Amino acid sequence: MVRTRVGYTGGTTENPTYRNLGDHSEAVQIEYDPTQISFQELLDVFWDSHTPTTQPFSRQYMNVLFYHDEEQKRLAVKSLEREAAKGDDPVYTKILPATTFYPAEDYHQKYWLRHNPVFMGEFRAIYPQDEEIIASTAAARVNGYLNGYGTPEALRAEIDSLGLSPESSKKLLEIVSN
Amino acid sequence: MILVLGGFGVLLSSTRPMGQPSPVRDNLDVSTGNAVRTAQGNNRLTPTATELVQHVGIPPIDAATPTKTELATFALG
Repeated sequence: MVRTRVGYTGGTTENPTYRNLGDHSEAVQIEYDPTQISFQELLDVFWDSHTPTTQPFSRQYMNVLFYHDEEQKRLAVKSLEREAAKGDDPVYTKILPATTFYPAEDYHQKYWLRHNPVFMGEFRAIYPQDEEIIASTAAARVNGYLNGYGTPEALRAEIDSLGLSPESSKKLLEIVSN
Repeated sequence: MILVLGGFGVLLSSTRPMGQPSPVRDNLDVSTGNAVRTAQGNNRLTPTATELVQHVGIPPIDAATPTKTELATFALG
């Protein structure tokens, strides 16, 4: 995974904001290295991360897979068909073409990192601008670990690549191990 | 409500990107140690990723950002 960012997409409202979302849905956009992880693997995580038979509360909180090309569309449709075949309940998850992605406000990005002053302080020292933190692979990974994802083994394997101080590296390992 | 979409956090620990130095990082001002973009004509060579890691503290994983990437976009209600 190279970068992640959250934002709004799928609608027609120009320049949406959290307070004026219009007809968009909240979404995450992932920039990935296809030599390291496949779109199919991302699809598997997507389906495991929600209940497709739950009717969406609103357009803002729909479950949608936005495809960027015909190959993604083909794989997405195939995966939806597999999900639909699992039971009799209707699948409400949509598959739609990707349209303009509007990044959410900075305070939504790297949420868990942003709310940890120690780790955020270290990234701020390296990257004074929000856009740089949003673009940072290290920030994305630390954000994921702080949100409870990843294993201690995985973190140990890459801890030295994340740019943290020795103290924060130790602290993050403690957090993930607990 | 916050835009967390935590389910995808697990993906962040699944891979380690490899590749070429990021062009953005190449524009950082190593001489001052500040994350300031330098002009093309500042009489010094563009620093390598290794220099940046040593002087500015750019996380090595960021200095090794791959140049060829793809996008995937999901909404999780």
